[in-house]
Amino acid sequence: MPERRSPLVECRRPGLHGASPAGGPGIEIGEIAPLSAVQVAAFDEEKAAAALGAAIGIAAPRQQNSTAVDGETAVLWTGPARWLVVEREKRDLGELLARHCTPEIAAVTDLSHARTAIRIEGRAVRTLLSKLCTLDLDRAAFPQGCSAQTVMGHIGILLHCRAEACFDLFVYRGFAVSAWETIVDAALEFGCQIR
Amino acid sequence: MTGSRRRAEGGAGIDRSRSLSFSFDGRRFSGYAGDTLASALLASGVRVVGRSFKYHRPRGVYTAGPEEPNALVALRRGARHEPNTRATMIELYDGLEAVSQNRWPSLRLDLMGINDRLSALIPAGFYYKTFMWPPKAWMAYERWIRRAAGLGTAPEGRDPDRYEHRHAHCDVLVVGGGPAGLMAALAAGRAGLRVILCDERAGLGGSLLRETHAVGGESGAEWTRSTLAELAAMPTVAILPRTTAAGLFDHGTATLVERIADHLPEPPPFLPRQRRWTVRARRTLLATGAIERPLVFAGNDRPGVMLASAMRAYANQYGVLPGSRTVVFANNDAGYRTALDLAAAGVVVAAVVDSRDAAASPIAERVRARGIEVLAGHVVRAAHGRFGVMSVDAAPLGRTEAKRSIVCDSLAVSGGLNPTAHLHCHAGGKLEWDERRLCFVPLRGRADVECIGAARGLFSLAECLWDGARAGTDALGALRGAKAAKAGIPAVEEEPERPPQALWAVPGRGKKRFVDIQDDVTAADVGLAAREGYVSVEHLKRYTTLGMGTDQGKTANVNGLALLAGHRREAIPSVGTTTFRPPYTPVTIGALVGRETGLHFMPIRRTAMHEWHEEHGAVMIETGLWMRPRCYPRPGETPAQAVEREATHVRKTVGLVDVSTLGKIDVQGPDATEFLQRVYANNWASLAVGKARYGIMLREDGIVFDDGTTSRIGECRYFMTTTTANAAAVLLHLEHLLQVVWPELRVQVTSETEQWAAMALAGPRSRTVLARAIEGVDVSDKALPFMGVGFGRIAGAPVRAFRISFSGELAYEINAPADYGRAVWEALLAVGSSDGIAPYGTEAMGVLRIEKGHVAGPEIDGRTTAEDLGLGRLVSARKPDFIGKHLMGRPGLIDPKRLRLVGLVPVDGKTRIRAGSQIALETAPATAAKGLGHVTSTAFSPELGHPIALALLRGGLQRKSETLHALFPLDGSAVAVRVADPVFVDPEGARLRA
Repeated sequence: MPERRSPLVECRRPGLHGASPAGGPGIEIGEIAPLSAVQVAAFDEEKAAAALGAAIGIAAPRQQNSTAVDGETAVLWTGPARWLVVEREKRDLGELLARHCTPEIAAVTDLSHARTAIRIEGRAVRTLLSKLCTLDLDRAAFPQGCSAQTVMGHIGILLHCRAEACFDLFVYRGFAVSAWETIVDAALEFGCQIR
Repeated sequence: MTGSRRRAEGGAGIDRSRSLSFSFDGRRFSGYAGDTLASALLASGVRVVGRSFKYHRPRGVYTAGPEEPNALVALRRGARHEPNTRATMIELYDGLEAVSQNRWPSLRLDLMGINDRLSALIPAGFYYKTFMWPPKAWMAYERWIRRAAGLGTAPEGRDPDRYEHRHAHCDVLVVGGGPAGLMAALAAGRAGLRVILCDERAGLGGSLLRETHAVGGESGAEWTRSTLAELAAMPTVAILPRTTAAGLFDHGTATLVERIADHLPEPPPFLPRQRRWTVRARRTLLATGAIERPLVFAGNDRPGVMLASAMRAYANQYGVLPGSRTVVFANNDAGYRTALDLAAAGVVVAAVVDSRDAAASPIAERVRARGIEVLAGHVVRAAHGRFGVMSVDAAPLGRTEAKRSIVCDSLAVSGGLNPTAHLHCHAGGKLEWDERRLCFVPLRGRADVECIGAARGLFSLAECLWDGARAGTDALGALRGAKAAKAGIPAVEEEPERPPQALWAVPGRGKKRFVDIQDDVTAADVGLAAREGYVSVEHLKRYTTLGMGTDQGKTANVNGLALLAGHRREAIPSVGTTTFRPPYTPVTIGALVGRETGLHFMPIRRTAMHEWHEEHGAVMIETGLWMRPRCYPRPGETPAQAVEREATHVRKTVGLVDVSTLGKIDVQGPDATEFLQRVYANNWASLAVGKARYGIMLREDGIVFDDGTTSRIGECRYFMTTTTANAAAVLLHLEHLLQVVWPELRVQVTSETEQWAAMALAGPRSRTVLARAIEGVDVSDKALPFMGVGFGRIAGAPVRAFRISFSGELAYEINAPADYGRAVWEALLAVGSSDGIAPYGTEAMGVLRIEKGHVAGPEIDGRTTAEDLGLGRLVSARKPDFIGKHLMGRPGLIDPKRLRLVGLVPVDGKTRIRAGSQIALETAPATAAKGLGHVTSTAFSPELGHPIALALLRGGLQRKSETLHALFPLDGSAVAVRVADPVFVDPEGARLRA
C-alpha cells in the first residue's frame, strides 16, 4: 500500500508564523492524518446505534450536534440517524463498521479520503474561529463535546469542540488547501504554531 | 511649525504631556494626544479647511462629530490615500498628513470659486435642463461637471492593508457609549447578560465628555472612567471603541465597523486596518444620541459658524476656543449653556441671540449676570466674512429695519436636536413628529430593537441615565424572565429647559442661506424645487441633491423638509422624511470585502493530482470552483496545438485524463434498485453486480436533467456518477426525493466526489497499459467487457476499474481513494511510458466527445428532451413510473418540429463554425421565426482533419446532407454547413468494444 498523500502536504509549513506574543503562540494548528472517517447512516436507528457500539465500544450520540469521544476516536452526530466516526487511521474502520452494520440496518460509507481534518487549539481558538464562521462559539453556547456543520466563507465544514480550547475542523478534501490558507492567514495575528 | 494659538485651560479629553506633530496642506502643526484633526486644526487657528461641493466656497469645521458636512479632508499618501474623511472623527497621530479637497490651485485661491458668482446660472437641477442638447455632448459635459464639482480623489494603488471580518453573538448590543448606553450596559452586564457596547469614537462617554454636568458628584469624565472600569472587569461584557454600527438588519443582525488602525500611521503587523463585525444580538439598544440642527440664514456656511454643541465640545473636551469673540444664536436653551461654557473657557461672548420672546428664565438671567447681552426675540440675519466670520447682523424676528451689526469672529448656532434614529429606521422602525420638542422621534417598532436616551427624544442627562438603566433592566426581564435589582442612578443637577421655537429659516433675500451645507443646497433651491412640482420629499432630495452627500444630510434633512412643508402649506409630518439606509456613515469597501480578495475571492477546489498538473506545465482552467488541466503544452506549442496533439494521441495510442471532478454519489440500501428505477428514465432492474450502465435523469417536467454512468457494486449498493456541473444539484434532488417524496424507501445517498481520485485511461493501447498496471483484475475483453467493473490494485492502492468511454475509444475509468490518486496516476504513466502514454486535458476530452457525438452541458441545456438528444430509445416504455414520465409526453415535448441533435461540417471543409451560431436557410440574418436552431459545441477534429460541430436543428436528421448557414450575428459572419450524423467517429462503436 503506498503512503497516503495529504492534500496539505505542500502548503503545510511547520514552525511559528505571524506575530510572536509574549505568552507564546495563541494558536497551534496541525493536520490529523492519515484520517479515518466513516459515515453510518441508519435505516434502523436503534439497531445501528447498537451495532456501532458493538463495533467500536462508543455509544452513538442521539442528540443533535452532540458527540461521543473515546481517546482519538469520535462519533459525531451529523443528522437524524446519521453519524460520522473519525479517528487517526489505525485500523480498517470502514470494514469494521460495515461488518457490524449490515445493509439492512445502515449504509456505511468510507469517507476517509473525502475529508481533511485540521486540529486547531490554543487560547485564541474561539476568537480565531469567530473570524471564520458565523456560529456562536461562546464557551457556554458551544461547549466541549458540541459539533456543528456550517460554512467557513464558501467552504462547508464540520466543527467539533474536543476541549475548551481545542477544535477539530473537517473539510472536503478538494477545499483543504484553501481552508488551510484561510485559517493560517486568520491566525497570524495571534501567533500561529504549525505542527 | 505653528503652535496652539487657540488653546484654553481645561480640556479633560487631551493629554498635554503628549504633543503630536501633523501636517495640513503641507504646513506643519502640532496638537495633543486625544485631539481630533479638527480640534488640532482649530487650536492652530486654521479656519478654512475645505471648499464646498458646487460653489467652492471656503468652509471651516462645522461640527465635532460624525455629522460633519464641511471638514472633509484626504488622509495619507499613495495607496493608503483616503479621501473624504471627516476631520472631526480623525484621531490625531504623530506624523498624520492631511490635505484639503475640491480646490485648485490652493485652498486660499480656488479658481472654481467663480461658480459662487455664477450661481444664478446653475440652480438646483441645472444639469437636467441645460445640458440636454445635443444628446451626445452629455459625455463631455459630464466630465466637466465632475471636475468642477465633487470631493476627494480615489487612491490609485492597490490598498496594502488587511481588512477582516468577525462574527459575534450577544444578549444585548448597546450602540453608543454615552450616558444612556453606559447605564444600559451597566444594568445588563451586572445581571450577567452578554453585552457588546460599541461607540464610534476613540473614547466612550459621549456627551459626558463634552458637557460640564457633574454626575453623582464627579465630573462626567471621571464618572465615565469608573463606569468603564467596572464594565471592563465584567467577563460577559465586550467594549468596542472606534466602532461604528453601520447598519441594522433583520433577526438582530448588526454590521459594525471597527477602526483598529486608522489612528495609527500604519496598521501593526498582522492586524487589519479595519474589522467588520457581524453581530447577532437578541436585543439591540440604540443609545445613539442626538444631532444638533443648524439654523438657516444668509452666510450660515461661513468659516467660524459652528454648531453650538460643537463649540461646547471643543471648549470643554479639547480645551480649544473656536474664536475669541463669539455670538451665540439659538431657538432653544442650548444657546445659554453654550454662552456660559464659552465664557468659562475664556471666550468673549458678544451676545446671545434667542429667537424666542423674552421670558423669565433662570439660565438667561445667569447669562446676563455674567455681563453677556441677551437679544431675546432676535435672529441673526446674516454672517459676513468670506474666509471667516467678521461680523453678524442681528435683528428682531420679523422686523428687518432694526438691523444691528455685531463684530465677532465666530458664531455658535443651535436649531434644536434631532434624535439619531438612523439604525432604528434600518430595522424598519418608523418616526413620529413631536410638536413640542420639534423633532422626529422613533416609534417603538420591533420588540428586539429599542432607542434609548436622546435617541428617543429624552434630551436631559438625568433622563438619559434613567432610561439606560431601565432599558438594561428590561432586557434582562425580556431575555431571562428575571427581575434585576434596581440599578443605582447617579444624581445629576440640571435645570428644566424651555421648549424650542420653530425657526426653519430666517427670512431673507439674495444671499445664500444654506440648508445642506455639504451639497450646497440653499433655501432658495428648496423653494425652486417646490415651484417646479418636486413636492415629494424623495423628489426634492433627488432634484436638489439635499441630503445626498457623504454626510447623508445629517444636519440638513429636517430643515429641508420643514421648508418644503412650508412651501406646500402643510404640516411637517404630512411631508414625511426620506428613507434612512445603511451605512450610517461611509464604510470603506475593504471592510465589506474582508480577506476575500485576489486568489481568495472564492476558494479553489483541487483534485488529488492538482500539483502534478501544475508541475507538468498544465494550463489550468476553472470549472466552477474546481481547477482542471485544460491541456499540457510542450515547449513551443500553442494551447490549440497541444489540444490537437493530445486528442490525436488518444485516438492513436493511449492517454490519461483527470476526471476527479465528476460527481460521485454512493447509493445504498435495501431499496436502492427501486430508487434508481424511479429517478432514472431508463431501466435498472436487470443490472448485475459488477456492471455499469449509462443513465439518463429527467426533471419532473420531462426535460433532461443530467446524465452519467452508474455501476452496481453490491447487491444493495450503486456508485452513481453525475456531470461536474450538476454534482450538487443531483445530490440535492435525490435527498429531496428520499426525505420528502418517498420517505418509505430505505436508501441513503452520500457524496463520494471527494473520496475518489478518478482518471480515464483511453485509447487503443489502454488495455495493454492497464493489464500491466493492475493487480487482481483480468482485463481481457471477456472478463472485463464494455460496461464491466473490476476491483484490483494499482501501485498497491485499491482501485475500481470501470470499462466505460467518453472518448469513443477503448477506455477505462480508474478510481482510487484520493490520497492514493497521485500515486496511481504516476504509476499508470510510468507503466504506460513504453506504450507512449501521455496526459491529456479537458479540452482534448471535449474534442473527443464532440467527435463521438456525446452530449454534455451545451446540449443538456435545460430545454432538451431525451428524444431531442438522440437518447429517446433509452427511455423505458415499460416502467410504470419514473421522474419525468408523465410530463415528457406533453404535446410540446413530442412535437416533431422540435430542435434535434445533429452534426454539422463546413461545406468548404475548413472554416470554423462558432458555438452559439444561428442556423438558417439563407445567409440573411435569422429572425426568431426563420431560425432553424443553433450550434451548441464546436471543435477542430484532428481525426477528420476539419472543423465539426454539434447543433440543435429543427427537423434534426431529416435534414441530413442539406446545406444550411451558420450565422454569427455579433460579427456578421456566415459559414455554409452541411448537416451530418452527430457521431463523427466510429458510429458502430467498434472501438470501445474492442
